[in-house]
Formats: sequence, C-alpha cells, structure tokens
Amino acid sequence: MEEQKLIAACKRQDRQAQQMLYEQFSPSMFGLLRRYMKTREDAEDVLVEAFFKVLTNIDQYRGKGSFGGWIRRIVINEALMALRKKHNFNLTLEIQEFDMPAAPKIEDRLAATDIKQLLQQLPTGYRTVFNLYVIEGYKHREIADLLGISINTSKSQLILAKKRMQQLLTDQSYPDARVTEKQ
Amino acid sequence: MKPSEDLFNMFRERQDEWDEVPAAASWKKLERRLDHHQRRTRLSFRRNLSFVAAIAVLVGFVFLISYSMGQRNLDNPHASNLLSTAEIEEFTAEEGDPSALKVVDFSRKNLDHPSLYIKEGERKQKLLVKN
Repeated sequence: MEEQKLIAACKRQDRQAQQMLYEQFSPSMFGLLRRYMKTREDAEDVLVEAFFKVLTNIDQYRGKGSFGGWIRRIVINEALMALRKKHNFNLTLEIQEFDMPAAPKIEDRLAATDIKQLLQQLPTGYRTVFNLYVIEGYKHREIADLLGISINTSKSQLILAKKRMQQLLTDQSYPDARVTEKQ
Repeated sequence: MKPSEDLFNMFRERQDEWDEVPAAASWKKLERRLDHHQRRTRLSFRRNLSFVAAIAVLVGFVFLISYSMGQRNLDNPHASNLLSTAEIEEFTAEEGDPSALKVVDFSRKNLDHPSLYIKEGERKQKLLVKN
C-alpha cells in the first residue's frame, strides 16, 4: 500500500493498516532499539510503547518531513525515556582530556552481529551518547539537553565509548584494531 | 580522514544491517493495547455525550422556568416584590415581627397606588432624603 494511503487508513484506526505499518517499520526500529537497550526484552517493550504512541498520535503527523523520520524520533524519545528511568546519565565521570583512540581499520571484516555485540557491551551512558552522536547525528549540546547532562559529560562519554570499543575489538581477536591513521 | 571518523562511518554506513524482526508476541501486545485504548476512547466519547445532553436538558429546564416566571411578572410587575392582597389581608400582628408589620402596613396603604413606589429615574439623578 502506498505510504499516504497507509497513513490515512491508520488515521481511521484501520487495524489491518496499523499492522501493515508496524510490519513495515518495526524491523528497522527494533534494530535501532537493540542498539540503545541492553536486552531484547527491554527493546521489545520500548518498541510496543513507541508504536502505540505512533498509532494513537498519527493525526499529529502533518506530512512535513519523512514519515519514517517521524517514527524514528518517537522511538528514540521512547528509548531515552526508558533509559532515564533506569540509568543516571550524570554518574559518569567527566574527563577533560583523553588520548583519542586510533580507529580500527577492520570495518570490512566486522560482521553486523559483532558490531551489535560491541555496542551492547558498552555501559548504558556510553552507548546512548555514541548512538545519538554517531548514528543519529545529534550535536553534544542537543545530547546534553536530551539526557539532562552537561556538554562536557556528553563529550567525555563519547571519548570513553570509543576507547572501550577499541579495547573490546582488541580483546575479541581484532588485534589490528589499533592501527595507524590513514594517509 | 581522522581515525575516529572511520569508526563513526562504519557505524553510520552499516546501520541497515542491524534490522531485526521483533517477536510476533510484540504485535499481539500492541494490538491488545490498541483495543483497550479504543474501548476507553469510545467510553469516554459516550460519557462526554451524556454529560452534554444532561447539561442541555438542565439549561432547557432553567430556561422554561425563567420564561414562565417572566410571563407572570409581565402580568403583574410588582408581584415579585409585593405581598399578595390575600397575604396582606390575612396577616395579623401575632404572626410577625415589628419590621414585617411595617411592610404589611406599607403594602396596605399603597395597595391601590402602585405608582407611589420609588422609581429609579435618570442615571445622574441623586436620591435625597426629605426632612
């Protein structure tokens, strides 16, 4: 079904259309949530809550911007709300300076499951800032607002996340993770 | 390109590989929540409708009462302020206090001259006590 028709049908509370919309967007949104949440169960709970909000507030979507982007924002907000309930983002130490880790040049060898595992092994604070900054493209100022932390905490957590990631790559038989910069 | 950019790009470019189908139970759970929400919305709509209907009936009732009272007052403009003739005639000294007696007395004297009552007059006019 065409996206506009699907949205219109969902606005009429058509259950079949709602299921189609869920089936169309849930795999990408669930993949996104798996990067934010520690466990699969937590990710599924947030997914249900987020899609409930999507389907009951679909009248608020005015057609400005992509529909997928609108759903994604709701899903991320829901994930952050769930994380804030369980995790205090201010507890992470702030650091002023840190040696930037060398990037692993192992991108092509890393399997998708390895990348997912890497993210899941990061502490909640690091993982959340990493997701928001690297994948969603938020600025540190925006992340600070979203999580109720200082800009410095956001920056520190990103640096620590990268350092931890490098450590994990080295530990997981990717010894060439610490390589020299590209020329 | 900075080394950290390589790592960032890897995550950005490969995010589609992480798509994952959630358990079928998730849709069932969502469907139950939607059903519950729809039931509550319908119930709330009916409740609001009943409330509006009750208010409309009440307003209609108040309107009818005030309309009928207005009709009575048109027939006798002083009726609402004065004691009725029967009430004045039946009133005896034992029944009331001295101030009530004064009212009855005043009403008896002016029964046939309703025009003697004080009129509001012009807005700018002052009411003066005549000694």
